[in-house]
Amino acid sequence: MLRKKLVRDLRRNLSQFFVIFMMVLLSVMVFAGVHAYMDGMRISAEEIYESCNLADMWLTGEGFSEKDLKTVLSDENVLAANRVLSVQAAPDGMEDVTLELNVIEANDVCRMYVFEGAEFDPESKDGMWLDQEFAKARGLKIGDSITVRYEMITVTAKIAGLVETPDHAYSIKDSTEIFPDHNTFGYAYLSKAALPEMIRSLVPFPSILVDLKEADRYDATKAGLQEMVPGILAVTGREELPSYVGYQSEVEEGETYSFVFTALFLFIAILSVITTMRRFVRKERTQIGTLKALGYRRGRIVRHYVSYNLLLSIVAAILGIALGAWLIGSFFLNMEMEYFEMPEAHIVLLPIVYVVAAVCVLIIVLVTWLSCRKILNEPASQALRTEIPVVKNTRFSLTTKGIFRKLSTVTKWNLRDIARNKGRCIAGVAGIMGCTMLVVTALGMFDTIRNYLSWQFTHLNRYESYAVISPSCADSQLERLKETYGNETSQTLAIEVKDPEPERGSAQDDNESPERTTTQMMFVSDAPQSIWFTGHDKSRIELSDEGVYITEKLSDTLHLDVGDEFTWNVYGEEDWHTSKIIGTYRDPQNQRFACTAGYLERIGREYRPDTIYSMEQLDRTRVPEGVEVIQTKDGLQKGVESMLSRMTSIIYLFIGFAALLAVVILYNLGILSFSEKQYQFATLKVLGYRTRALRKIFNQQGRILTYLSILLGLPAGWWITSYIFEAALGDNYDFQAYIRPVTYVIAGIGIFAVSVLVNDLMSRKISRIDMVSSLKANE
Amino acid sequence: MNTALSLRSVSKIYSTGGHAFKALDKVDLDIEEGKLVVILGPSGAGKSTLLNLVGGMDVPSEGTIRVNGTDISTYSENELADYRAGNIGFIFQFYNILPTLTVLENVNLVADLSKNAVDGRSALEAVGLGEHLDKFPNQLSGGEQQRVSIARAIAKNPALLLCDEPTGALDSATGVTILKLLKEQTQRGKTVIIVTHNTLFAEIADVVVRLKNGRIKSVTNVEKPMRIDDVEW
Ligand SMILES: Nc1ncnc2c1ncn2[C@@H]1O[C@H](COP(=O)(O)OP(=O)(O)O)[C@@H](O)[C@H]1O
Ligand SMILES: [Mg+2]
Repeated sequence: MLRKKLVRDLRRNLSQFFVIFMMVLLSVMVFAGVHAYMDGMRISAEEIYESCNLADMWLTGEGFSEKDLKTVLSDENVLAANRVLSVQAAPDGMEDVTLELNVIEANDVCRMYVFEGAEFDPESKDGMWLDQEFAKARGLKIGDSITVRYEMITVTAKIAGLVETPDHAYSIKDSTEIFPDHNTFGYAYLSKAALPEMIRSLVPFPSILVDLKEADRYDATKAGLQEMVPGILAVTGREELPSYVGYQSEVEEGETYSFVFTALFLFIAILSVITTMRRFVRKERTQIGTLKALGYRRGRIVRHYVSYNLLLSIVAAILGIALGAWLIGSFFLNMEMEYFEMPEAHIVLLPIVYVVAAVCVLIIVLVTWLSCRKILNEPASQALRTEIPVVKNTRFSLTTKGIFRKLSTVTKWNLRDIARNKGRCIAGVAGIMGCTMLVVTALGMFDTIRNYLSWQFTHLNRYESYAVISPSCADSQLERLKETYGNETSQTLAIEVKDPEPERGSAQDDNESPERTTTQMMFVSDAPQSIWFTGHDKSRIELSDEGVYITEKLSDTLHLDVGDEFTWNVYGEEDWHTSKIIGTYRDPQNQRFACTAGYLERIGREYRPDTIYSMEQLDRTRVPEGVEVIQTKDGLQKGVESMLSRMTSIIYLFIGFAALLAVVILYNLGILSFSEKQYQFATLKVLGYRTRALRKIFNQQGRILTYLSILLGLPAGWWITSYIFEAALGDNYDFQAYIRPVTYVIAGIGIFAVSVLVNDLMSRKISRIDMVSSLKANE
Repeated sequence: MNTALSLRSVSKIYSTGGHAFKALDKVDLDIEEGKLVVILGPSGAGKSTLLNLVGGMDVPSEGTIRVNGTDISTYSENELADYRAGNIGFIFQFYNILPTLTVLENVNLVADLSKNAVDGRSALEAVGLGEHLDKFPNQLSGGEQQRVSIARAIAKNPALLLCDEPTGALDSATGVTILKLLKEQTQRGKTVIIVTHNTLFAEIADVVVRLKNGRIKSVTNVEKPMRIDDVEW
């Protein structure tokens, strides 16, 4: 009997069950989807790093001999080590393309993942192993011949394999290029055997990739190796590998905002489910009373009602996990993988997803159970009484006085109805507010990034192109370059800065341990027109030759203020300088020191430019001698555009879901408020109100609540956006959330439009109110 | 005397689940202005149906209903709404007043509907509720609530007052005061139609209409109706 009732009730309360179903479905779907791809990215990377043996340590020097390699290998914590020569070469016949050419002798560390073709063969005299994303973008196939040129050397090889390596998951030409572009940049591997006979023995190997037995003992091994191999200039770990860091930060960045978004979704969903459930059980009050009067046991009645929602939410949760993982998860993973090179990337469903889904189901069941119990605790006779709205006038006393007296009767009626259904209205307002927040945040992320880009690329970087001068460039060549491009140059120095407050530790400690230093960057500018500096309010400041400048953020980190002195040297050199900080500036993405070339010379250091700027759009393919790379702002812009377009689809997804959520919440709110007031509307209709007037009255309440929600949601959106940027951006960045006023307008109008639409659809029900039967229902 | 209401061959057919049910079967009825009409009949006779048709809450399946000479059976939905707003005062068994509006606000609801509406305050004073203007309905007794509903009906200053079991939920003493109020209205020229299954009402009516199975059994004009106070309730 009860089962038959279940089916009939489902049909009768379709809209309310639909709301519960949708809410569980949507929130589980978003949560599962976002997690499936974020966890997928992370775990796929861990797997590939493990199976392809990503190096734990990178040794850098002028050139390592075979003996050096043997010494490194002799360390008991070193499992494997490979020497590498990596240069940026230009392939013949491909305009605008840079190929990072790696010459190796063996491939034990950072092993290639072969998509197509042969495994790496150290004996191969004409084989090239090529970045498969690059090959795909350029339409290159196995067997195709490629000629590459580096300075005076030309090598021709056949593509033997299409590969990806774990240290190139995020591969960019140089640090100024933020976004990978597989069309203009790729990487390739050649065996040393493939080089021309005459230079083979001369090849310098400036780096060694090291695979450690125990990565925890990194510091000890580093110290040991530095002692044994004097040629080592620098030792770096994974945390300094741009590919590793770039990939990792993408995952972490995503985790911050996905956490905020999904938490919001879950919160909103649970809130509306609670209101719906309470309303539903209240509506079922008489039925519950009847069942009880008939002699059904409490447990059975409770089980009966709980079973509705248990069933429904389990189906919704399972569907949500499936759809989330396979639709949202796969979609975003595939999109990410257009930028990152991670073989066998796959979505992953961690237990947390199932746990959250189960928690959603449990919450639904709990709310149902609690609401049922409350009614079961009433005596049967009371539950049997139809619920005639009980009104305590004290609650409305406010609305009978003061400015409320001036309001129209209908407005008062709506306001009091809101006051009477506080729980439902607060849940609704919180829900719509959450949706507004989602939209503002989604669009605000866009605004913030655009704002940052305009600061960086139009305000600070005023050049059109720049050329990176190779370290081997002769003085005469440099002079010639200056003649062609102009006099605007800069040099970036890696420096060590002595801890400005050594007194912090105890005196004895200081004597025993070497003085603490941190590694920083010093940007030496001789390009006042091409590179601008901005102060706190982003207005321009001009550097003087009197001292050193520091970015505000770095000034905070190092406790170095204007007027302080600090001691530093160029990385690897012996000469220490003491300089005075004479100003602070702000830079969105590089926290470092800056000074003029004039200052550098004043303290007795030679200024040797490594970059030369031009106000003209240079040809990236015609790289003159002495220049490593030519980069144009246009090229950078392209990368930016592609990154923004990738962001766009994520943002649209969130906005789409937010809108859907808003529709469900408003619909829910509308249904609840309508079914509750149907009888009152019937009365007003009898009195002679036209349908249109009644619809207006009905919509007024939805509108009041929507106004309120939007009013609260807009600032909350700003708050969440700044939270996301604060949490997601590392120490290197210095820019705040920025949301254009028009974004608030768009978000507000958008949510309002959704509200008007849903309300309008709901209010159509009013014309279908049958006065006769509505009034009879109350008898 | 003018004819306030004239029904010609009015039928109402409900079709539920395939088979049709005739709630009213070719009803003919003329009511004169300013009369107190009592429609009597057992439960299910079609009394409420008749009242709802006259009140423009529903439309007849066939036949014509003329109110003050105008045929309302062909009205559109909006015309019916305006007709209800301007001409009809309804009083129901369960009062149907809005719980979140004060007594005065409930009555003022109709002020912006009817052109010839009277002041809500005076309407409430007329039913003896002048002291309870700012109370909420649940602070009133059943009889007082019904008086609010009468005040709301007469505030429109309608030609027709339609009452469906107006005393059904009240004790007899309270019922008497309600009836007195309704009777008073006829003295102001309004036509009052009361639907009830209580045969005692026949004693005080000017016209008694007896209804059974959707048909009119008799229409009796009472020459000398009893005074309400003289009836043994
Ligand atoms: N909406 C409806 N659908 C079907 N039958 C109805 C409907 N409304 C009323 N009826 C039937 O019409 C008959 C008359 O109803 P009603 O006018 O309400 O009777 P009463 O005289 O008790 O007021 C009843 O038998 C009832 O079952
Ligand atoms: Mg009836």
